[in-house]
Amino acid sequence: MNKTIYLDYAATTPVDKRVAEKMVDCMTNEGCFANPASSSHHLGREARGKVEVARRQVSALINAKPEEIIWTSGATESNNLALKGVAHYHTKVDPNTKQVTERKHIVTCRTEHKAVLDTCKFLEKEGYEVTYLTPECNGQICMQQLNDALREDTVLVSIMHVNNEIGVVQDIEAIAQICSDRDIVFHVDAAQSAGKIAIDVSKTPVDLMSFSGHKIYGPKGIGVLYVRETQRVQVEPMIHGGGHESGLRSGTLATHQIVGMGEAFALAQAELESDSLHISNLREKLWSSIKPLGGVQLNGFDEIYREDGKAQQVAGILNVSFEGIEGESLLYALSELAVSSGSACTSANAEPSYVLRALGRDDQAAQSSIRFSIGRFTSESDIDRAIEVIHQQVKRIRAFAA
Amino acid sequence: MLEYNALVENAFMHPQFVLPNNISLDLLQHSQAGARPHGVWFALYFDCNATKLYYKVYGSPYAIAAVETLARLVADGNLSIGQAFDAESLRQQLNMPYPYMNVLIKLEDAWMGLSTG
Repeated sequence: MNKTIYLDYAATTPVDKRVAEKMVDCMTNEGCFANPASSSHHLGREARGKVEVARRQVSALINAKPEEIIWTSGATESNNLALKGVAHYHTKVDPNTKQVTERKHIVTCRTEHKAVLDTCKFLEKEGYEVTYLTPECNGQICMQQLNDALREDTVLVSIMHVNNEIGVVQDIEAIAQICSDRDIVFHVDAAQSAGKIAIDVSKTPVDLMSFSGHKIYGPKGIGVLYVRETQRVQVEPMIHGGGHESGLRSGTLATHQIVGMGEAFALAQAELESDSLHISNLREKLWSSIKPLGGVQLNGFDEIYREDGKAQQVAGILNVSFEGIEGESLLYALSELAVSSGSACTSANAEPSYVLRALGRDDQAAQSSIRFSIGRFTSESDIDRAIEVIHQQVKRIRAFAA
Repeated sequence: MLEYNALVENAFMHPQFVLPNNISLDLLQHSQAGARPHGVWFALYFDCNATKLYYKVYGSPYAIAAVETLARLVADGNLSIGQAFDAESLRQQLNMPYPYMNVLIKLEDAWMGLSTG
């Protein structure tokens, strides 16, 4: 059997060897294994030092203050903490009816990751009201629609930076300004954008931002919630027990994971430009080779940048619908390639992608879509082989029904 | 994606009875069932001697494997026109989960269409 070609970087990335080396140094008896909370001895203080270096590395990538970085177990927890934490802090619950009585409205989008959507569903059960914006057919949110959705009692807006299925970039600067003008807390799920697009929270009034280690060549099981240091942004903790992370997230800090995430963010900052160029070139080659097959539709933008120079698409995600092929057969035919149909978390489910359905794609187009996601370690020969397999198999499977 | 057994894999990767485009349809008895927007569609074709079953198919690997297996049964002389095929046995051979049963229902419809046509 041929080697599997990994084109699923949006699902997860391999840990960069340079990251793994730093992590190993924090695990064994010879390394920096002590509890970072053990301030009574040198080993604990040394571990604490490494945690703080990592905090600075993460904050540097987004131009935040180190103290605004809160360690979590991943972007899912960060999203939960942001949404539930803000909602619970800023609202009041009637002790008799147990119903939310003030600032009970949240705005999000139908194409968000399940980590946000399911959290919103949970909050709805608690009595919060959620407006789910429908994006335009290109995947982006219409600012007028957002403006119209905001209410006097809106407490939070949560919009992802880059969509995990189609790679479309939301204009978070514009959304942040709208929210800031209305004194509404703005949360951004940036799991798919860190290391791919420059983020500067000193210029963009985002209040909360979720990050994941494993999407950026760091380890799984570690994430960050950026919490802007301002009176306006208050978050109620979900996990209690020790008051770690300024009381926002208790639990012993996983030094090796944190060090890994920090190193991954430092590498991302140093290599953002070269990674972007490498990935853009491979994307261009892949897409320009798929197009001649005919009957293919790109879900997302063809051009990475808008005319004004702003990014509207990340290069690493190329989502394509193949006409005339049933989705499951397409995925099976392409089994030499590690790719996703719909979002990685729901690939076991034959339901058409809810993201593509929200964009107005019909069931067939949504079901026959494949997400190719390219990363730092994808080689040109990987793309050459992928092109060969795609051509061979798409023609073969189409012939079944032609 | 589901894990498929060796029979499904073989039928999917090495089908022998997909209708070639150079065969004249006038010579063939024809029946179809299902619809592409519903995720499964079969078109079955018998040659004039009713000894070979050809097909066109749109659907999951199970749909492709089911119709290919049916065609192989016909070619081997284990199934002939007018005879009902054992859908449950086919489901078991392909290790097809129950939610895919609509595939076999549509295949039966197409097969019955040939038999009665």
